[in-house]
Amino acid sequence: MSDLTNAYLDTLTQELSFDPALARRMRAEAEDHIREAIACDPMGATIESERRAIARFGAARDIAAQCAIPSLLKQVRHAGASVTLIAVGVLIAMKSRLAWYGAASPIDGDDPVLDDLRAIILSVDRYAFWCALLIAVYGWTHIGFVRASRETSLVLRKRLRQSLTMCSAAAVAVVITVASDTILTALKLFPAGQSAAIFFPSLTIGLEAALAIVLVLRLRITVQRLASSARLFPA
Amino acid sequence: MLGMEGEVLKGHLDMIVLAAIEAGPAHGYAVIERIRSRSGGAFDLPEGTVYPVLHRLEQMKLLKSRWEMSPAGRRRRVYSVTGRGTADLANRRALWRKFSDAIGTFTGEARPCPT
Repeated sequence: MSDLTNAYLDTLTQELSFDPALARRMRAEAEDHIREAIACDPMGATIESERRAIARFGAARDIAAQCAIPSLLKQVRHAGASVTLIAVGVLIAMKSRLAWYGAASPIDGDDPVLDDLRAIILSVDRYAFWCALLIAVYGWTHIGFVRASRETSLVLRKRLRQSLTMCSAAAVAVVITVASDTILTALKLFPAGQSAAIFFPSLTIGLEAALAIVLVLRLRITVQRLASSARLFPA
Repeated sequence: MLGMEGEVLKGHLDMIVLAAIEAGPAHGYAVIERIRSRSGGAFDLPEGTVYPVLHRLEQMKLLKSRWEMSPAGRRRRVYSVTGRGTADLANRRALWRKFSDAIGTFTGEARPCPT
């Protein structure tokens, strides 16, 4: 295969960078297509027949633009589902820690001096959690029920941006919830020092933190891919 | 980019691609060739535009695909119509006939439907 086809396939892969799996598949299919077209050309395998095959395949940017909306719809739907499920995961970790405090009650680190601080953080924790869950569910449903075939590209891109903004806001609220949980747990566990009794609460906090990190990283990738696809749609 | 005819064609591309693959499993290049030959060269699209359609139809479970080796030893994706795809194509055909008859009657280019 010549540099001409390789250069075209590289451009196509680059234009499809918003979806690496799709880019790999399209590259393989385009390569097979172009080779087949060259093999079927009555003039034989010449540089001209290769040029013709690439020209007939179409502009890489137009093909990428055609693929972008369905792919990004899927990615933003997954992001919405991830925020919602991770918020539920944080709730389960939180509730299991509280249940553990109630059942085992081996730690009594609730210093009355810190009651006011604890009450403020607890309020922040609760509001942030419910905000996260409500915004995530709304963001998810905002894009979840869109029929791509019935909307214009402009409308779909606007909804993608709106939905991803809501998912990002929900992710910030999840991070605030996890941070509040960490502070509350630290205040409770700190007087207990290093004992076996702090293992389970620490484990649940670790789980919450891991979920929050996964969420932030995942959303970051989706935001970057949505932003990079903007060049395919000139204003 | 597609011209006006291309834009009209784009609206029916799903049906055209489904009908082309209904004849038998095919890879992307063969799909394009079938479309071109069965339309007598009238449907001449940029060939790459068929792949996003194939992927979308597969996502909608109207098509299924698998990797195969070509006679030249290249890996290629071969598409075939699912049961759901066959039913969907029948619906699209019925709708198209109804629409085509209505337009024909409206513009005076077809016989009115028998009453």
